[in-house]
Amino acid sequence: MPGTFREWVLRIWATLRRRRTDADLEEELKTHLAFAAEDARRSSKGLNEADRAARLRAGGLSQALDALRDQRGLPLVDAALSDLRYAMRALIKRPLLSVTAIVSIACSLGPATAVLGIGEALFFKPLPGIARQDRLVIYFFGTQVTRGINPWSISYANAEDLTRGATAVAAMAGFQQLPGPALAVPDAEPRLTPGAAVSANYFDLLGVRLVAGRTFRAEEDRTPGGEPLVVLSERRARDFFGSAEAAVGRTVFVNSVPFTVIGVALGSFAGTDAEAHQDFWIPGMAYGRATHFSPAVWAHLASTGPFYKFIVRMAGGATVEQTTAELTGRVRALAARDPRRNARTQTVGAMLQPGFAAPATTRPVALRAVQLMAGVAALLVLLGMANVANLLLFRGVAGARDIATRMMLGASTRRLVQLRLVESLMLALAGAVAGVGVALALGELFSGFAVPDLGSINVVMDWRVLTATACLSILVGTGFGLAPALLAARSSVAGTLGRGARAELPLATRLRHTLAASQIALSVALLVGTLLFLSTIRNLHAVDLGFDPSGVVMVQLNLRFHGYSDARALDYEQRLSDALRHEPGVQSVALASQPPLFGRGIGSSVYLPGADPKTATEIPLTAVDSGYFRTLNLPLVRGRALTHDEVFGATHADEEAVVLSETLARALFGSSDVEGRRLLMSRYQATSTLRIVGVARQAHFGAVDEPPDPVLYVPLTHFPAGEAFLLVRSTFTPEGARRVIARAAAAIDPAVPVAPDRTFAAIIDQRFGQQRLFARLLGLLASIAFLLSGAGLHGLLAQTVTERRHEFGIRLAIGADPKRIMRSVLRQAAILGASGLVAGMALAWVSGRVVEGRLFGITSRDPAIYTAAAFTMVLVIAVATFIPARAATRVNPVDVLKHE
Amino acid sequence: MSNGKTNKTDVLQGTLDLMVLQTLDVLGPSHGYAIATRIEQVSKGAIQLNMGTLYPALMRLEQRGLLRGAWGISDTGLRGSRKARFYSLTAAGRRELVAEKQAWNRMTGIIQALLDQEG
Repeated sequence: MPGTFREWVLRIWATLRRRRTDADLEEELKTHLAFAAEDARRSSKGLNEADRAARLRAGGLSQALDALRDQRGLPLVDAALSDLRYAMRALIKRPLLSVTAIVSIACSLGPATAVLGIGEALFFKPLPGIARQDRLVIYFFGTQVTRGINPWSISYANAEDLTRGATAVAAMAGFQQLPGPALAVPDAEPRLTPGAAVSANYFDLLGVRLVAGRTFRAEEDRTPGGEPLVVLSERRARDFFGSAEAAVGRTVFVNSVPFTVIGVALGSFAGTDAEAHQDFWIPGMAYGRATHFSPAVWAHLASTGPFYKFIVRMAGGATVEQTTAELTGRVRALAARDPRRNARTQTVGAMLQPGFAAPATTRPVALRAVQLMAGVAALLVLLGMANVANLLLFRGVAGARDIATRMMLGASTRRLVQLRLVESLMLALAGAVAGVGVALALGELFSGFAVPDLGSINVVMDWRVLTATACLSILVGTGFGLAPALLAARSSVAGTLGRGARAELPLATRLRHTLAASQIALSVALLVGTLLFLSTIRNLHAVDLGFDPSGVVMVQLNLRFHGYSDARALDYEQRLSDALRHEPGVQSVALASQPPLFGRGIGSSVYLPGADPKTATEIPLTAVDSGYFRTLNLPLVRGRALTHDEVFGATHADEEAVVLSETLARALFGSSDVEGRRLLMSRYQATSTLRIVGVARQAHFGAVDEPPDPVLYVPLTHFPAGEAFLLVRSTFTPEGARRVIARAAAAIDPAVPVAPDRTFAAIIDQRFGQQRLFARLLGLLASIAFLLSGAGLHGLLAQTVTERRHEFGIRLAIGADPKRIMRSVLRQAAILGASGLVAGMALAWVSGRVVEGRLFGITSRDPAIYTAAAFTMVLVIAVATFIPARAATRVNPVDVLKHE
Repeated sequence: MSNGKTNKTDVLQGTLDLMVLQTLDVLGPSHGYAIATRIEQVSKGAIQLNMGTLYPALMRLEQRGLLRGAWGISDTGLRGSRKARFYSLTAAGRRELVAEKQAWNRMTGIIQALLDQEG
């Protein structure tokens, strides 16, 4: 240990500022050697011998230099710094090796980082603005069914019973997202803004800080209808009024109903739903107000309760299990006391919410999905590590002579091992940094995809994820760095120098060959998977829908929640359609309760007159107007479409005019020649008569990947009109069409916002999101695997060529044909490639069955796909092989022989 | 002390410091090679200091303020002059030398007395 305090200070000082440089130290030592050499010469030995003797007596130069450096400054820091510098230089001297290694590491650490980011988003990232989240749990109540729990709402009275005198439950608050809410300030265009109805103690329970005003008082959430008060998010308050303080006391319109702002919540708080952040909150009792229910319904709402989800803050030492048990006991007691009212809420369920506490039972589902991803990522990490270890081992073997020489001149084994490790760590960290970029790119690539049980995929990059990535990269770096480092340490000096650069164990060779082949196999299998899903998506989009989807934009009208009665809604829809028809660029407009590809929707039972009603078949139906068939370019093969009077006057007529799809007509009547025939339909215990006026060509209705459904087209007035879809065929882009629609809608009633537009292509994409996800995921993995296997194969062959330089040189020297040399290298590549290819195809063959169910229009064993994958692999192998093979023929025999 | 080689150098360190200080006291300002040669001569070849031992010791003594080091020209006779680093005792170094000599004498006296006891 350095003795005096002064010595320590000097050392630290030396580390920080200019001190005797390495060059300076080296010069002093060299002087010493020179003096020693001169003395030795003077004592009459031969020149070189004298030098060598002097050197040996004086001790190794590098050792002395090391010792001096150690003494000069803080040994650890100094050694680390010099190692770093040396490692940097070594890596820069071999750019191809370094870049290949970094790319390999980035490709393998990137996905791992992404998985860490996903895990963070799911399990750790807390919701902003909420205090002590680990004591919160989200509960819901309902009845146990086979697939889970069917949730039901709890009345205010019952909620109080659940918490009164409870030990584990410190407080409970309900929250319920408002349907399709629009928020507006006076004289401004309303915007769809998510918001929720909450109990009065919601903000207190969560510990949310307010920037201005106050939250709800208990009495404001007590009477049916509550008080028309609202708390805004800071974002929204600033948007509307410029600042939070200015917002308090002002009026905003929630679904056109005036509410007064009483408080503004601190900016980051966005509600308690991780999926959908909220921007405003009203008292629970005011739910009916905001959704235009009549005051009579408000009382009903109070007794059933508007809340389906509750936040519970657990008391001091309570666990989730204890809290759940307490709640279970209480709901059962409620059910026993009043089965009629409370039987539906006997089971307690808890929701998984990142940052909140949750019982172990809710995590496994999401956990399993993340584990699957982690497994794939781990595989990639291992592949990458093996690849880089290969690369470094190669360099280690080739550079073994250099190491041995250094060791003879006095560098310690420990230093050499340290150096190798530092190099590996530098590569690993550089790769990790690049990997973060890859992870973010992955997040972008997969954003917006929703996976069952996980919700949407989010890659969160915060300090926790970055730290974890750094640790992982250090582990990885140490992992692949250890092998070359130990090889360096254990290289037998004499043996290495004697045999040239060919010191390698047969086991290592076999291992590397197996690795290369298995990388090829994995790449092929992944490519097959990717191609299968890409074909599936292409096939889905290529299905003949039976109508012409191009140029059609759909917008769902949400008039019910804006206080429109049926009659008013119909009037609005008519006026909107008429206004749009007069717009230049709009070709036709239609209304429908259920457009195609939105699912099968509501069905009805129809049967022939005279037949037994019990034989009625349930078929999907959609309520349309007279413009429907024209707008969709869905031709009628018999008869005609519905007329305007038949659509809007249907309520007064005895019979409803309807159109059948071809398949339906043939199923019911045996032919499509059914104009004028009658049908009976059972509705609400009554029977109505339908008069067929036309037969439409059979088109897809429910889903693209199922056979086309038989459909019954009934007049628009058949269903309440508040939520109909507006379909517009125009020459505009979807964005442009939406603007035109919004303008026309604002002219009729500015308080009603226009929902986002949808196209048929987008709907197909959304419905088959999982296939698209798989295509992207597999495509990404395949690309990475190809990169790694190409690099691995290339490295392996390059190494082989280097190892066999001696052999090639001699063969060329004695007159061998260079082409034969090349062929022997190619043969090795071919064997590797072929075995990998065969293994990969077998792997794809077997595992194809697993995804069979998700494919469309193609089987998992489609020969064209396999051929394409094989062809691609052969191409990659050829490219990877080309350079080393040519290098083999370029070996200069003279060089080789001289070198040995 | 520096990394790893604690055992060997710990034992040597105390005596080495004393040897170097004494040599510089006798020779006056000298470079490292001269110090090493002198010690070898005086010990009749018993102590052969290698560079890895001597120079860190010189640096350590310099860090403790007992020596001062500076580059100078050495007269090597036959080959002309050569640049070398010379070390000289500071005032603190002289005081330390005196203290070390006293401590050494005391120590040897005690050990001698113990050894004389036996038998």
